[in-house]
Amino acid sequence: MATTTKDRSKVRAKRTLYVILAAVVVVIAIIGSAFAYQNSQASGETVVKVGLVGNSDDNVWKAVQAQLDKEHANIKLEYKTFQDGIYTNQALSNKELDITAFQHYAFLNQEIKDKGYKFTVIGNTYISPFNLYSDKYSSLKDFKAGDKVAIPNNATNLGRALKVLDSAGLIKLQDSSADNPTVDDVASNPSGIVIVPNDPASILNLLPDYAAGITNTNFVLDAGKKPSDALYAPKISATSKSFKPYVNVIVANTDQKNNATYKKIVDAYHTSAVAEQIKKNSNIPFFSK
Amino acid sequence: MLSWLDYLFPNVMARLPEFFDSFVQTLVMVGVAGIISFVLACGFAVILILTQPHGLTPHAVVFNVLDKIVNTFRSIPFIILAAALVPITRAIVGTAIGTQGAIFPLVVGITPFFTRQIQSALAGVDAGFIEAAEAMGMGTGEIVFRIYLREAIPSIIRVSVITLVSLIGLTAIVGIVGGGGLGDFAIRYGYQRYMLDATYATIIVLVLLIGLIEWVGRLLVEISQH
Repeated sequence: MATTTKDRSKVRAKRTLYVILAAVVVVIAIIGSAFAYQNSQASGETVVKVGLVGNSDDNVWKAVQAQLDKEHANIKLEYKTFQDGIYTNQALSNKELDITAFQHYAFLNQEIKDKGYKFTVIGNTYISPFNLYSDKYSSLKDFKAGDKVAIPNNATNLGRALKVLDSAGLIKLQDSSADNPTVDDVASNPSGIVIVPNDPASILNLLPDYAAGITNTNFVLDAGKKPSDALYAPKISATSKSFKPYVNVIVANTDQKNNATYKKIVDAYHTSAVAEQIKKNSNIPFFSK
Repeated sequence: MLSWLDYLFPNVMARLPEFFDSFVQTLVMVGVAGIISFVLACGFAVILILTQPHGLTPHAVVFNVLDKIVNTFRSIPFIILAAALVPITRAIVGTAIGTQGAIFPLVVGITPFFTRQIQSALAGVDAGFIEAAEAMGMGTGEIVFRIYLREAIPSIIRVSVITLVSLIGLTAIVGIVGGGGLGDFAIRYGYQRYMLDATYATIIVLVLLIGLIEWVGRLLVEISQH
């Protein structure tokens, strides 16, 4: 039987396919051996899985690991990075993580209240400034009725943002010391601003579309701004009661609260080298009980 | 070459091992979820084709139940499905986080779509072949394997390529449960930390990956056609 064009193109297709498959196999083999090599490197150490949200504290945790290494603690921190704190707490509760460090008391207590988690704070970390930023205005007096102000759309930071707006005098809350106020708790709105909840990561990118916005300091730094560029910054005082809910914490499951390894990690965190890195992120170390 | 990459993708080059891990996680998620989902989808599609009205073994109850289940799961946006499945994932897989925990929601998310795709591939098999096979006295099982699945191979490959590409899209979403992967890398660095080069590098790698899948698919179709 004579070979047709179709048969020839089939043979060519087969040959190309073999070449691609061979290339893929080679790449996988290289990757596989690289991984095997990596895994063979880590042994004889206590591995502690740390749940984090986002990557803005990478430098801080690098300093913690360096401190542990310096003390020959034989502890290897393995970071699991999430996009969202809700899943991080679920994973901690399910023992898929050993400790977490991403939330403040306000978020933690809300989660414990809503979901019944058995969590215990094993160490404080830092307070992050939470300021009002604007590209449009340079004074709080400039706000007009109808101006849109973006604030984080997660419950606890939304509450904190409302307290910032309250202390700036733009709105009035029924009770400015309440834990997690919502937009329903706004008693009066003398400035007439419109509050718009938004994903906290994109608020600074959208600042040109809003009159002003409030978001977490890590996003502010990544967007190339400084907390000092804020239009309004509530005064932070580590001793002030109103800031206590916003102290960030390292959290473990309650049955592990006396775990000696975790205690070593907290001690390594509470060192001046780590404090330096926290200040580099424009946050304020808060290591006391 | 390296300094050139350093210049274009500074944030990615500084995290090259993590970028690499993310790529492998994407491959693992797409590979494992793709294979499991392919087997399930073939099974469901065959059941739907056989039990449909005018199918080889019509069965209204089985057909309608399966058909409605497929429709239900297809109408749930994947981000909501992945969140809702967390307890079930944990019960089945043992963990709901990480790449392992991501595979189950991906399978549940993509199988209904895959089933519809394969169902349409099977429906494209010439009815004449089926009639001839029946006339030759072939049993249902034989018809499924020797006629339906065999004749539909080129179309099954085509729809599998389409499905795999959708699956890669879904892997970006399971980052919310710590699933990892390139999509998660792009969200955590590119979106949350404004490192745009992380987003661009992810796009480039995904475009290349999808190109490779399409290319292999085209070659397989060419080989399997007769």
